[in-house]
Amino acid sequence: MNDMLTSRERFGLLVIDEQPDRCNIMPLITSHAATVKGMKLRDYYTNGENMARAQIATVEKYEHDAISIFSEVGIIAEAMGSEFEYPENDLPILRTPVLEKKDIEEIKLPSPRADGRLPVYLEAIEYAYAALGDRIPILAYIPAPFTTAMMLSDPNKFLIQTIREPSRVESIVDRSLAAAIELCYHVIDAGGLPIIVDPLASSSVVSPKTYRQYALPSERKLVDFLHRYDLDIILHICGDTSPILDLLPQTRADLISIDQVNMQQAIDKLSSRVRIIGNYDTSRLAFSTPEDIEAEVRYMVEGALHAKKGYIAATGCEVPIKAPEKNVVAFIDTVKEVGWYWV
Amino acid sequence: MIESIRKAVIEMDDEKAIELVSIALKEKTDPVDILEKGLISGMQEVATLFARKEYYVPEVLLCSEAFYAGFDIIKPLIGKSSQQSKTKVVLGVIEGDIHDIGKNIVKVMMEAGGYEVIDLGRDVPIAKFIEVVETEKPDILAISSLMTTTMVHMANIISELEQRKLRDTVKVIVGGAPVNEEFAARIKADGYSPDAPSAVKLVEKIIGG
Repeated sequence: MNDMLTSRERFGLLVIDEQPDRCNIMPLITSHAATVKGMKLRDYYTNGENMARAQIATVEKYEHDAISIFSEVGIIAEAMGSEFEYPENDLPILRTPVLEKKDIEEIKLPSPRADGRLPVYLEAIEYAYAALGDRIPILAYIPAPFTTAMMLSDPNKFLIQTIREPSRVESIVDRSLAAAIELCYHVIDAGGLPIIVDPLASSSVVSPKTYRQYALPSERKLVDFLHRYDLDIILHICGDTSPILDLLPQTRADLISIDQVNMQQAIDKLSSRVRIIGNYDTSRLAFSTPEDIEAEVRYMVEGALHAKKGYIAATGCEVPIKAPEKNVVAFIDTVKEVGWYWV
Repeated sequence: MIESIRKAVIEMDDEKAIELVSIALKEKTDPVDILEKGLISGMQEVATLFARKEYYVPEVLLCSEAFYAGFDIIKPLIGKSSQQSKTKVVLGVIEGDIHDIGKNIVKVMMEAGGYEVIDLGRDVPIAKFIEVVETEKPDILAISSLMTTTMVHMANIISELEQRKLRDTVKVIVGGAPVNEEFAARIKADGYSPDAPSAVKLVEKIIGG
């Protein structure tokens, strides 16, 4: 069947609890766009126009339902002083966390139009919005405060401090929250829809207790801030979130994106309260075959399509940079075949 | 006393571990017992708690600190021969990748498992892995990668080992978030493990034949 709605209309209906023509398809196609465009990674994440053009080319090729402006979760920490290296064909690598050199009190809030690669990010959003904003959501990935806090710190030390020095961790997280809010003003102004990503808060890393202590309150404050703009907010936590599924709605996020979680369990626990996004295993896109992907995606979508508050077909984590295009096509085409509501 | 040392490790108390190990030594407790029945046994319990999702990464890091606090005192006092096994493991995070928390947890659990561990650290060039296999002749080469962009280097290490005719001298095991069984098989690794406790079991299985 052919699409009847634009991607923007499709997302718009979902968030007002109406069924769109078919289910939204939003695999986390981020830096993979550089591969599609034949662009070196460094050229992608250091130049906003490049990033937007690669994203646009990718959406024209795959015809999925979102532009994804993102390179890696260090972007706010970098604008606050953490130093990154930019390999030509790899994502930025954290070299010197700012808290190894300065105290928290000395760290200034970023100016999104001037610091680090935040201007790159904002230019990418503006460019993409000007080109396609009337037809497709421009998702702008915002590293959540807990994740940014870890990128400001030596990760090993930070994790130990979550248990040993809670007041220090709280103040780093608070600072990171203020920085995220500062960025969000500009992101919204540029036409982006913020999606909050908090990979380091997952139960693959920290306990539910630690999640509840630092990550959950800061995610909620960020969601509350964004709700002032009447936006519908996605929270994405990759890795295993099974132990914290019950806590996730407390963030007040409108859509929850999951990774290594049993989909039926997530539907049982969450789907009467939030829309669910997920959760195809991304490593399969790198190493599997189109035939296997088709069978697995079909099974996933058939099981999740009628989740009470709605469902978005996606990958659990970012699509691998070098994933073969035929595998990504297999994912998207399968959802387009089985994900219909208007029949 | 040994039971309290074991508990100090499980309860993440490095100061107590130092204090108790020092007292135990003054009381002429056998250092091998302190190590095996106290520190190592404690760390094995930590591995179980981690596998059961009662402990998470921060808890394991703190337990490791307590383990090493005691281990550093005991290590000079015991000969290599008293270690449970002489199996030698070389461990490192691949070039371009600086995520080493997972590797550090594998390391402490391997040491708690009685293996001799040579830790190459993080961001390790391919040539360094090859050199160490040549000079140290380990039984196991364990490679970690946390990024899809760096995991491909694992295949390069294995083919380099083949070219230098070193492949048969060592078993290669791989791990890290983006790595899976399928990938490990594809690059012809000898094993894959999804987490630190199962990495130790994997080594036991490979060495046990």
